[in-house]
Amino acid sequence: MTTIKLSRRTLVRVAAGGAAAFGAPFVIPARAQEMAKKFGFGQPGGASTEASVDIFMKPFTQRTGIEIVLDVPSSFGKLRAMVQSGNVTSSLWDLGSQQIEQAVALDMIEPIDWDQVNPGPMYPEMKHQYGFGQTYFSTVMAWRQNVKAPQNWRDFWNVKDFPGKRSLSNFPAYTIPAALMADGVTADKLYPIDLDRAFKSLDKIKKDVSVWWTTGAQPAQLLIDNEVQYVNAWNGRVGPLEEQGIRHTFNEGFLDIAFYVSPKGSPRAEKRAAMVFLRDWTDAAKQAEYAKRTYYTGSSPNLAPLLPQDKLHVFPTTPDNKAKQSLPNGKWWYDNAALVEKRWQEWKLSG
Amino acid sequence: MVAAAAAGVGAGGRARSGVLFVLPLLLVVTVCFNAPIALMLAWSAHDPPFTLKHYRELFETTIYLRVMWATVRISLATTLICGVIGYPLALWIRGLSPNARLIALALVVLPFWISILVRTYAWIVMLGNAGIVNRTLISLGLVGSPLSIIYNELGVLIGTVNVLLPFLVLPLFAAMVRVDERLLQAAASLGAPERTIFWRVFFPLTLPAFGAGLILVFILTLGFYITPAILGGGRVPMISNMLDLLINQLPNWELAAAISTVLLAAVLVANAFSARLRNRLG
Repeated sequence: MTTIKLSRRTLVRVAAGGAAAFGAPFVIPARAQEMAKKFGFGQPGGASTEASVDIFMKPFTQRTGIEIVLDVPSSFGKLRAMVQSGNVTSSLWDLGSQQIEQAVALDMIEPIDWDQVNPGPMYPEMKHQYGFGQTYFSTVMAWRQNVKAPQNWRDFWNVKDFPGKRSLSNFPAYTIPAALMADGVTADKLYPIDLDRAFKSLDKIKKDVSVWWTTGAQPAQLLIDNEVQYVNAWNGRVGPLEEQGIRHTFNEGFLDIAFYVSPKGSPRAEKRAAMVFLRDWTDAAKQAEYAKRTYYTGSSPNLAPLLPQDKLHVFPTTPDNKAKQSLPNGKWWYDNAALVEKRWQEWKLSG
Repeated sequence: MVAAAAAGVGAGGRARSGVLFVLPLLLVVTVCFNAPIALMLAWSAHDPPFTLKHYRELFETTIYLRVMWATVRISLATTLICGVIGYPLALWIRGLSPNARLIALALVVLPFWISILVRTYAWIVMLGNAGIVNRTLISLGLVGSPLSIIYNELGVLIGTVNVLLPFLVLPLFAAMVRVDERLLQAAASLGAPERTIFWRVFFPLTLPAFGAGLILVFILTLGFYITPAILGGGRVPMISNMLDLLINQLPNWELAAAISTVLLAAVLVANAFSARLRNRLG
């Protein structure tokens, strides 16, 4: 409901903003450092967007007077359509690490202006030429506390000793690495992915998977409803459910990065304002606030001491948890996206 | 649109002014709706020079054809179930007293007022492992472990039939009410038994509406997205879910456009078939 309300209201504002921006270059030639009084921002919607509005956007607007106009939801198709139309109304867009390579190849995004951002301390993998690393998220295993707790993907795949129904992500990029680790591949040897081996491993668990989930909310709900007992899920979805008897571990988790990118051809003055806004995202104190609400942690190496110390185990990038996980090879997924997707669909249709 | 304009032609001068009244809407529909769709479909033969390679990929890779076939199969099953349930239901409502009819129709229409997403999730609460149906069956000792009712094709069918039944029942009921009672009385006065009256007089008179309703249900099922995504548990691929994948994940808009073109052609064929059926029977 919130999402729809948000997007309707903002659509109108985006339309108005877009019209103004379209006319602007012909009226006053933009001075080098001039900043627009507003810029557009493609956001996924839901709880994480609400948290970024409260913690980052509202204070930024109060301080600078620069208004941020949301465009919800921020799907890849919508970004592509916007850039192709030539009417680029958003200067920032939310994009996953695997889609950055695609977006670059399709000439949809332009480099982040890191000089303009002038960021605070950040982990190096968060500073991509084309992407500002907003938060870490992790694809982890989770289970109901009344079943036997798995320690690793081998346990998760072992349906004999860990009986119960499973739900796995329908996005192969989140599930195939788990299948390989269940078959004995170590995290440092995952890439390049051995697809034959991965599908052989998936064969072993196929009949015990009730649901191949497509939205982040699904695995959490399936656990709560006792529809399945073991899932892979994004940590921000299962982290808040500890009190409801849902457990998860970062052991053998797959860390990933949510990026903010700069859609190609947005008005320069708006992009400048957007880059200045990104600086706020490197503020460790704000990141801690955001993490408390979403369980997704930001780019600052100084974040851990600011997090609630009794709940450190639920955050993906405390030094302990970060060491247990691996990062994906976005380039490999980009190079093989079409092949993987085809084999994935064929495999699911077979038998 | 075009039909409305064409229908007025016989009336001479009035027709021309009729066309004028319709023109703005026609223009809006063409510019805002038809033109973008045509452009989108043109993607399917574009690389940038003209090419048929996306169609070749579509027909050479079994996966897309299999998903299309699965979609057609589920659509046919939905159509059949809607027909088997819908016809007797409409007939039964026709036989009710006026007040009871109102209540029955309200019950049929009620689901229209509830978001399709909410209804789909409601089925999970009803039919899931820990849902009302399975809990009742287990507590009555009828089954040992929960039945898998959703997260398979059965689940998708329950969802599609639930959403689409009113699309068949409402027009069918309207057609049944319009059947002239005197025709049935005439048949009875000539000595025809109930069965003969139904099959030789009543059923043929309602057949055009029944056929049109069935084809409507079939076409609407072809495009279902939410129901298979949620009640199918990601195990029942349908064409819309495949399109979402091709547009938002891969992204291969050209192939998505090719699939859309084939789907549109299938719908047009079904539609032409329904129009012929109406002409022959109506």
